[in-house]
Amino acid sequence: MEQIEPENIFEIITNETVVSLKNRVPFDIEPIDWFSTEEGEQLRADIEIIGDKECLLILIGNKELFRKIAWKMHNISLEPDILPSFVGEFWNFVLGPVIKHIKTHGYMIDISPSRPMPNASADQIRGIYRYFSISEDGNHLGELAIYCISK
Amino acid sequence: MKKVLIVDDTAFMRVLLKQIVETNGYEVIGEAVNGQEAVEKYQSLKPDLVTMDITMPIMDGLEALETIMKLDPQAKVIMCTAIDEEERMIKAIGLGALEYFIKPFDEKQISMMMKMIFELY
Repeated sequence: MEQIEPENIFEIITNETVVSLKNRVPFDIEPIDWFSTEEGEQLRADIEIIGDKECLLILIGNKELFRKIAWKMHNISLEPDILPSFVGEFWNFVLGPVIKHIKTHGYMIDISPSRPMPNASADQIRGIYRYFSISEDGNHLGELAIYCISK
Repeated sequence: MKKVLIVDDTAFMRVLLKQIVETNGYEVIGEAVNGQEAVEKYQSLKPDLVTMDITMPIMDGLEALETIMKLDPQAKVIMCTAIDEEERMIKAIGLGALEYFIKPFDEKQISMMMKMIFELY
């Protein structure tokens, strides 16, 4: 089993999250340098990793983008009040395989229940980040941001 | 028409499971957001099948399953959980759950599972 150096753990968690996110998002997904905050109402979900190594993992994206992801994944049109719950569950789906992978390297970790937040902003978040542009057949659908904040 | 009780603390999962259940021609007779509510609704609504999430507040799915199986050893329960909870799934089968599925799941898999359970039991 390959050993993960403790000083690299959050970078590796972030990179594994990117891999899992790419597997879950049912559209084309490309890394970008900047995250636009001008795409309408943003939704956010927080999940904490607890145990040997602790951090907060955040997903932020546009409401309409999440609505399209839900439709593409499950063929379901979600009411606005259900969308935050979908975002929380989607983030759970993404992080499940990440936790499983990190555990195989000997770390005893677990994840907290997801905490969805409507009307979110990425302005005040500081940590390791990755930004993505999401598109379908060349049409821009929106952007996603993920953050890993060590504790 | 077969009656299904959906137990999950996540609103989105309840909506999604309701759509799957109804698409297959079954009736969602009730929904519960934790294990305690599931036990109460199982007794009052007497569903033919329960879909039960494992990780929930107040009373988790395993405790609810154990209580329901004591009340009704013939209860038909399908467990639902996130990836990486295989040990809890094995425990659930030991407690009497008939099947389990791991989120995110394939809708067709759930449909087949429900059909099989209604045919076999």
